[in-house]
Amino acid sequence: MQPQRRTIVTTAVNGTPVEALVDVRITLADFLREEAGCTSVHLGCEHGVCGACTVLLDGLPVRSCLRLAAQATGHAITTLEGVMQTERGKMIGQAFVEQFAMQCGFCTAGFALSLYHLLENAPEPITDRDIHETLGGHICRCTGYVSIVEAAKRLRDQRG
Amino acid sequence: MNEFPAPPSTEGRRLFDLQAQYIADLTPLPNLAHAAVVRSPYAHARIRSIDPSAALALPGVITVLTGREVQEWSRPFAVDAERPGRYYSCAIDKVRYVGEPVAVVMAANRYVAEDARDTIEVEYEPLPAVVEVEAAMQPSAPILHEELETNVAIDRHLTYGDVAAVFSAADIVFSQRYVFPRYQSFPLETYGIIASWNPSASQASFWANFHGPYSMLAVLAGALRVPLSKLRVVTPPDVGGSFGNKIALYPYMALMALASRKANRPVKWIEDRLESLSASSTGTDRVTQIEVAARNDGQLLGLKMRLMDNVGAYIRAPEPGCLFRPIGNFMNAYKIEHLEVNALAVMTNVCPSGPNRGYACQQHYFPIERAIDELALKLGKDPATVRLQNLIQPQDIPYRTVTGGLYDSGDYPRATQRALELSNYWQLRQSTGAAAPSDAGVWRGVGMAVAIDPSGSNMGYIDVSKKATQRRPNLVRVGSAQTTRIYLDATGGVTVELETAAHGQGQETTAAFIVAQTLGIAPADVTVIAGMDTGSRPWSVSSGSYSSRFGAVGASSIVAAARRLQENLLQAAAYFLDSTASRLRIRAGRIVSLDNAQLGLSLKDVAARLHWSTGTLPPHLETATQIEGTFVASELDYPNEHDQVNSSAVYAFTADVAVVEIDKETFDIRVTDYITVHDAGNILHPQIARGQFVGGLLHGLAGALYEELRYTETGDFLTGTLMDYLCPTVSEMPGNIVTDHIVLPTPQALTGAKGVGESTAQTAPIAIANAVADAVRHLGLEITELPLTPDKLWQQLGARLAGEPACT
Repeated sequence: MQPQRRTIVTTAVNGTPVEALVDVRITLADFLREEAGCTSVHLGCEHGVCGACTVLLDGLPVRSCLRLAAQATGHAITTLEGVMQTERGKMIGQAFVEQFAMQCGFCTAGFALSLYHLLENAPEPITDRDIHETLGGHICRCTGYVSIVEAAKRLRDQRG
Repeated sequence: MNEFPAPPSTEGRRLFDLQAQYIADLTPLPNLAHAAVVRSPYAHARIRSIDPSAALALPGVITVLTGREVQEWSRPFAVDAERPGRYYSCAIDKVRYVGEPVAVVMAANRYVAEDARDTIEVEYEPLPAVVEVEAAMQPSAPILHEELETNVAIDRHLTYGDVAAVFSAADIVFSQRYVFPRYQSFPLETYGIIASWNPSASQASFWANFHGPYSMLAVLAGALRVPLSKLRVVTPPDVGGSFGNKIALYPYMALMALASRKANRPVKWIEDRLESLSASSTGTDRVTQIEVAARNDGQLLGLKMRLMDNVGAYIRAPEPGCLFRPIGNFMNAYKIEHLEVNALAVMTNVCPSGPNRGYACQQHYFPIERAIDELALKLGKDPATVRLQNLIQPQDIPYRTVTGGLYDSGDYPRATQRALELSNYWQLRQSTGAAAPSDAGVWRGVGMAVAIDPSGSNMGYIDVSKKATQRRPNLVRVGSAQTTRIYLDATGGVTVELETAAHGQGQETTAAFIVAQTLGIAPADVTVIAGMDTGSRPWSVSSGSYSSRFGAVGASSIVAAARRLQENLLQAAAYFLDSTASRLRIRAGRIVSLDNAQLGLSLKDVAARLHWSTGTLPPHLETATQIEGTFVASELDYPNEHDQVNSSAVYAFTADVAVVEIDKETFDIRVTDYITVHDAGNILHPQIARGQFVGGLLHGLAGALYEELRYTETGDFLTGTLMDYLCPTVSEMPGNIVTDHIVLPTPQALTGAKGVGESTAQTAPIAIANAVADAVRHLGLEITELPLTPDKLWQQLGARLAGEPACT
């Protein structure tokens, strides 16, 4: 067993500069949860399929369980903690809460971040297919997706 | 009652307020060690030696726990089975499934713990393994627990009515073998435990995503050799799903308590996904041999069922619930008076089984509902007609089943007709199966299923696992009870403490709504304390979130508590206003007199006086602000000498119709339409109830078409990732989902509500299977097992169609 190498991560998490000395092998997800206080990042599968750990890296959705914290150097990370500081984030929260687009809530942050990215970036019009493709990258075990699709459509209609 | 609209999700609000607390987020104690579990790579092997020296030499490693200490410090878990194996939280001298714990490493962090785990040298002597239930019953099969000399843990024969007579009098008798698969509901959050052993007090504290039944804590206490009072279990406010799977957390709670004892410090363990799929818990896979006796006019006369449950390497409580939980509703919704059951629990070299959404009813109804379709076809009748003909009629309810169940309320024909109408069933029948247009690119089918959905399990049912003469006369386990505590604070705010430990069912939202409706205040003025703490809240062994019991049992205890608070408020106001309580009412936050419009007090004033004027209160008001409301389900009984028992508090009903299309080239199966109609009594919160119906559909669909925990013949585990274990995404859900319900309140619950959580999970696998059977029957294919995957269809159909042009 080799002694663990450490490295300095220099990144910004939800707009706040972060510099930390970490094991080179620590995943971005563990770094965000344990070093940056972002407990909205949930680990469902730890192999990049379920989507619960989705965060935005320079605005693009990525699976934080598949990346190393070291790879965040020079990039800006946004989690649900950051998104909820925005008006759009608050609208997403409202839509999810009113549509009951979650039950246990473990997958929800991932859905919210991918939807945030869609709503921020997609050219008009956002089609039902766009919504399905965005949500299709995430696994929810509780809702059967129907209420999440309804929340997404409501957010699309509110985008204006 | 309905002064306020159903409130939005309290639980969701907490999540978006960034206040959620799941087990992995918690650090309730200082100085936590992090655990990693060493697990067996073999399905069956003797452990020759374990050498942890390399692990112990790693910087950051604290200690290693092995089976030696587990055997010394704990006892095997108790279970209701005639021939159980000796089941400890960790393998002692033999491993019996891939993934079985062999040792636990504790280290400064999880990364180091996992490094160390990989350095522990375990020498195994592999043994032959057996994974199929019928193979494990053969005399030549490898024996998992040598001292038992058999793999059969339970072999019960139950007889109701005069089965021989109806079978000899029947016009038609046929037999069929059906296989229900092994799958789990895959909660997105895995198991998580923080355990702390206090050596001087022999006391264990846990923070864990365990949610009951709290009877499992009695099993845990027994294994740890401590009284129940020496266990404290805290469930965080947020639990990331369970669907029954986290009931089987308790063996790992024992393991982590022992790990903490070894490390002499608190230990935290968060399971990973491979561990979850291979070694947490799964639904029970079952082979059923069913024999049906009927008349030529379609009248069902009797059933014989041989139930062969694969309970995995150790029969583990709450098994053998899969065999006996549905005993009162063994006949489903049909008026059948004659039944013979041979119930077998068999141990094999796979992960131990346990509750999974639709526990026992999925397994039990699949052969019955498939066989009814087969009967209809044999008689040249429509399956819907045969079902309608045999359903228990509304005028027969309350209906006592021959197995002892008391069907409390409902109109099964009406709910069934509604499902047929909403799905346009009779018209669809004209265009499916052989009647579908032959030039289409798909085979099309429609299928239905009906199910009695039992909720609020009666603890007593489990004793049917023993013959009447072997039951313990000094401990009659009967009932289902729950207590809810409510406080009125000095400013008129109301706080509710639940003892259920929810995991996504919206119980906080519903509890606030119920209390608000009863007291005539806004839901936002009611604070619900989520999660659970056995150290400070009232609870009993039947507490917890399981068997769809919240609507009927849990919520009824909330109603009981809220009604008592209402009565106390009226009594207090009567005292303060010098009036009589019967002439007072609570309206919009005030207590007003029916006789004098000027006479009244705000709830806040009453609350303030009850708190600030305690020295002046009469005795009957001294504890008016602190309420414990208990609800005990009625009509529950202990199994009698004829093995009859009312196994659940209430019985809901579901009628579903599925429409499927199967691509003629790829054999891809799509559920295009799914219609589900429920007779679940009062609906406590419409959106939450619908979420449960649709969520249940997802799990049923998953079991029908996608998810299966697979092993090789030698017990190697094949489905350890989401690339092998296929969870449906939004794209796999039916394009058209219709949920509806009829409302016939149950008299057995103060809420009038029955369960909603498991119902569609029971019917969906069957309705989909029946629809697929309808689509491909004209091709000569029989559907007898799940999941139905394109490759399985291809294996059967492809050969048949070889040589014929594509798209026929």
